[in-house]
Amino acid sequence: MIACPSCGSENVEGTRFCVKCGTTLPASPAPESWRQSGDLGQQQQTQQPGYQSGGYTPPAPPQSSYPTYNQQQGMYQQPQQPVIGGSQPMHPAVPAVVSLFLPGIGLLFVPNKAGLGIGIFAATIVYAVIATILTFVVVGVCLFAVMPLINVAAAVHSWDEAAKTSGGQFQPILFK
Amino acid sequence: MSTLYRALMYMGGWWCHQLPARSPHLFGAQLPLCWRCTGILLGALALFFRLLTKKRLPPLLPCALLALLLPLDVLYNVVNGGDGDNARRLVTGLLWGFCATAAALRLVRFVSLRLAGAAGRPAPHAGS
Repeated sequence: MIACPSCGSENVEGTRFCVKCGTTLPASPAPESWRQSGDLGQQQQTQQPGYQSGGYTPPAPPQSSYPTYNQQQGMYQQPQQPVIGGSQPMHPAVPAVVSLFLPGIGLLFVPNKAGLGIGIFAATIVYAVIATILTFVVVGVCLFAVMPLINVAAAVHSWDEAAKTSGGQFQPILFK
Repeated sequence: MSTLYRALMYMGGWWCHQLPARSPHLFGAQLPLCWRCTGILLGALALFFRLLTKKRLPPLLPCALLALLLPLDVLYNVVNGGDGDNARRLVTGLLWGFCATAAALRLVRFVSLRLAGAAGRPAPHAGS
C-alpha cells in the first residue's frame, strides 16, 4: 500500500493518483511478478540490441502450417515440418560392402537406384559366365584379375550414390 | 566342413585355374585361389578399405608402373618357359589388385568426366 503524501490515505500499489484526493502518487516499486519479467527483459536486451527493457515479453507465435511468401525469391516456401522420429540416412559403407561382394546389389539400399543396381549385377553375372567359359577354354588364364576391379568399382559407386542422397552428411569418394 | 570347402573350391574354380603347384596350402588342404589370385583379392580389399578411410584415390603414375609388374612377370615366365616363383606371384598379384584397380577407377572417373563435359552437363568436381 502507498500512503498519499497529501491526504495520507492508503492506495493500492501501482496506482498513479490518489483515489481520495487525486494527488499524483510517488512511483511505487513494481510488483514481484513485474520485476521478474523486467529482469528477463534486461537479459534479452543484452542479447538483442534495441529491445525495450521491462514489461511483458510475448511468447513466440505458433509456427504456421501454411506456406509463406518469400518476396526476395518470389516464391512460396513450405514451412519446415518437425521431424518426429526422423530416420537418419544410411551409412554409405553398408551399400558399399554389399556391392563389394555382390556388385550392384548394394544400390538396392539407395533410393531410386534399384534398377541401376540390378543392371550392374546382371552385367556382372554375364561377365562371370563369359570368364568362366574362357577360363576352361584357355587353360591357365586367370580372369579373376579383372573381377576385383568390378567389385571395387561397384562398391565405390554404391558409396558415392549413397553419399549423394545423404544431403552432404557423407563425402563421395570417386566424384566429389 | 567338407561341404563348405567344396563350395569354396567350386566358387574359386569359376575364375582361377587352381593349379596345385601354384596354390597355397593350409594344413595340407589347397586353398580356393592360386597365389596370384589370392594376392589380387587381398590387394583389391586393401584398396577398398583405403578408399573408405582416406576418401581419395592413390596417384596414377606410381600405380600404373607398379601394376605393370604382373604382366611383366607373366611375360617373363612365358618367355623362359619356367614355373616361376609363388612368392613373386603373390607380390605382383597384390600390386595388381591394389594399383591396377586404382588406376582403372581413375580411368573410369576420367572418362565419366569427359562424357559429362561432352554432354553439356556440369561435371562433378574432380577432387583428389
